[in-house]
Amino acid sequence: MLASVATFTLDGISSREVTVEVDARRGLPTFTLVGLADRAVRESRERVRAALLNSGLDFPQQRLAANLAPAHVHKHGASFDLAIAVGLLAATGQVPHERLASHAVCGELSLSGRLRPVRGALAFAVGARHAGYEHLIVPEENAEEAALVSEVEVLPVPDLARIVDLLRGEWAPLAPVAGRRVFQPPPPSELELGEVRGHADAKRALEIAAAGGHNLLMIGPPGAGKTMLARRLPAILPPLSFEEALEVTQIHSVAGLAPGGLVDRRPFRSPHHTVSAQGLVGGASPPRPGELTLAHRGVLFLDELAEFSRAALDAMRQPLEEGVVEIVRGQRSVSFPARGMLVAACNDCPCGRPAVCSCSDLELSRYLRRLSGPLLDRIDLVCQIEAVPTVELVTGPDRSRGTSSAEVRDQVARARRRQVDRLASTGAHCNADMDGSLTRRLVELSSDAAASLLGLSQGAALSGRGHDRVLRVARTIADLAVREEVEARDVEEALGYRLSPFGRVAA
Amino acid sequence: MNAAAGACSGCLRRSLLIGRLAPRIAGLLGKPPEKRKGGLLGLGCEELVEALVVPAERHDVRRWLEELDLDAVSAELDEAGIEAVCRHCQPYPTALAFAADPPPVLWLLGGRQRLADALSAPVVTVVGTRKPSPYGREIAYALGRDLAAAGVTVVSGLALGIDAAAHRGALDGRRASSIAVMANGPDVPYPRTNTLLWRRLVDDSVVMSELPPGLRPYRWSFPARNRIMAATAELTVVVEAAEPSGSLITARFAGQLGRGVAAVPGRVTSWSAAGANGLLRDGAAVVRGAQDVLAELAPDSRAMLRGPRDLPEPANEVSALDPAARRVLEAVESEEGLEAIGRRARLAASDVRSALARLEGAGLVLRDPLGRYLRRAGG
Repeated sequence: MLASVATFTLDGISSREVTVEVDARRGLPTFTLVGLADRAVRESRERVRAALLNSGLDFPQQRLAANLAPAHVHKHGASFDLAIAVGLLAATGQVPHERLASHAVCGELSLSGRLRPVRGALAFAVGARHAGYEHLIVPEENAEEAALVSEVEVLPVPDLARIVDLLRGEWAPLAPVAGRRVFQPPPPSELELGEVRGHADAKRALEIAAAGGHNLLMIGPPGAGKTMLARRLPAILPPLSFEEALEVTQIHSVAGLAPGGLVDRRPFRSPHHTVSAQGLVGGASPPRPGELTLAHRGVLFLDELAEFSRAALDAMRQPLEEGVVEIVRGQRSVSFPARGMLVAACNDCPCGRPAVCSCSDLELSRYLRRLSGPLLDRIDLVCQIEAVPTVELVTGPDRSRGTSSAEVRDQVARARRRQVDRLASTGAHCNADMDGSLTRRLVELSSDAAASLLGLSQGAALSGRGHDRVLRVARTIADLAVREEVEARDVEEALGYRLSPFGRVAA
Repeated sequence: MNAAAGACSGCLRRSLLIGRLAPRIAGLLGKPPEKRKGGLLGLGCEELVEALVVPAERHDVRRWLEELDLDAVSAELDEAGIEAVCRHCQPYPTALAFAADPPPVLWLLGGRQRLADALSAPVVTVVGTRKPSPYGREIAYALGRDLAAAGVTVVSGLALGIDAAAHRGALDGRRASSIAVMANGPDVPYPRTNTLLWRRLVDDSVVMSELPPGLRPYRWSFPARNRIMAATAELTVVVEAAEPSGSLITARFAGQLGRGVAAVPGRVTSWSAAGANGLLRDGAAVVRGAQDVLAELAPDSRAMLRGPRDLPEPANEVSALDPAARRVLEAVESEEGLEAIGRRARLAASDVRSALARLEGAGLVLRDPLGRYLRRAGG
């Protein structure tokens, strides 16, 4: 007898429908599996066999063939176990066929018959909705995440025996804890900006970066607080919207990082500097999202920027420009979203020991050259981080308990709303997204500001590209101050945070 | 044109022999650097051969020297645009000709006429450490620029750091030329980092060396080069120098030759300024800027030298500043970080940054490659 069951396979961060066909007929007892299955899929034969027998079900002594269609798509992982088992049960008449037309299934089997959670449940649910299935059977651990897709009824099931009951119409699971339909912004992060003493300049730079989505480079000696400051950035970014939270959840679920349920915090990723280009932008086979994608809608923090491999940094260039990572492997191409903010940090000299530094010019210029290059073209803001004197840390008056994260977040959110209104229908989401022509068209300078920019940019030897960057940042500063026109002081402050021409040693 | 026309054949032979024997010189002398050249570079051909060549090889070296085809050498030099000046011909620096162990020949890039012009002006040597602080680099650049603008020829050694900054300044100051004295063949850009600067000097100024073309530098040739720099100039200015250092060797040569020695004061706590501060303690003239150098050169005839042109008048610039910018400028001058600047000037972070941008536009501060601000010198 023949049975077919619908399930899904991961394709990038989305899913693709796979039909599992199982045929059982008399002959020598064998169990073959075809359809470009990788090793984990082929091993599922043993899991299915043991799980069936341990659940008190019959594993038929027949000639069994399972086909995973479409046959040309590579299939990975153990999420097909359940579909194969259900197909086998249907093919041998142990469960009725009727319900299989409207049910999709996914899940990994343990030998005991229990269901194990799978990666990408949200993507599967989205796929089920897209393909028009009314019900999706998932392992219990995946239920909350899959239930975020409201158009599909998610049926959480603990083990194989229960599925038999379910398909026979003898049992029904409780409705899963409904995914949050009314989305609440997350509670304030425990990393509070107001607790940071000193660092007034750096806090201001963080605020501007957050308000305009600008990439930021922090330069300073080790231990001055670069990482500490960067970690506080997600808390001053505006809260995730429900749609953004879904995107983030789907990515993290595919990467196996989701806690189960919705990811409602902006991600903060800080890969170690030994990360490979693949680890940073994604890759491998099957293609997995890299750190850049995992930081989607959040913050990617690269500490010790100069220590990252050239290949890794170069690979980030295009994704940073376009907000998307395109990975082409063989004939397949996968694209991962990558719209996060980049925050980079580096030491102010190659030895990293400012107190006893004796680095030569040559060493310094080599170091700068390693830092420079195309990546810096995407960095709008640079700030110097200095160690706050111990005296201030210990006895500094508490007046330095500055603006709290929540207050800054409100200002940032207000600035972002102004940008969204201004940039509607341009394809850009925030000031940092504006390209050269858009910048020149949309950034209106007051006559004072124009004169000031003209005067100062001569002394500052500003390139055309540098000019645009200053305009973008000035626009953000004016947005923070709720000013429609960019004034001279906005331009001046933006100039103060600009990138110096690296490599040109000050004569 | 005959490239070797500015040198007599005896001097040419002797210089080429020194070039041939250059690798032996370091091996033979294990003495401290300033004594190393002691007399050796002043020896005649025969004595040089006896001092540096083992008896078994002397015959070959002598025959090479006899058979040397100076016409062919001259043709090669022509092709490379290199000229030679011996101490019996013009425009060999007069001061150098009367020093002990004068180089037999100076090999030139840039031409005899330019050297003659450069030497007709007052000549000052500016030297210092290869690892300067941003402050030292800025001072060296400003000194080079303002001296050149006042018509003074600036001599230095094209090393990294202070030397390069002084050359750059002199080239930017334009009115007078800059002479680079190399410790290797004049046609070898060394250190390689300064290749572009070397090219600018060759195109607009003079590059010269005691060593014949094509030779790499040797350990002994650096102090030997220093004696040329010290002897060519009326005054040697040390900008930043550690102790001991090549710059101090130059200053010592200058002192021995009876030429002036001056130094730019540095922080007493900074090891990279210890050498310069030591010179000041021992009586060197204090240099705070180009004006001090001019006064030292010609106390009576300062009027002959025209003052620096095209430079911003510092007093006016500062008095035209708004109060916030002036407070920030004071804080920058105290060489503290941005954080401290904000505290000291009692300004919000955003006001500090915008004040700095105005100051930079006014040419009063500049940024190093890592974005730190420092006070601009000479402005």
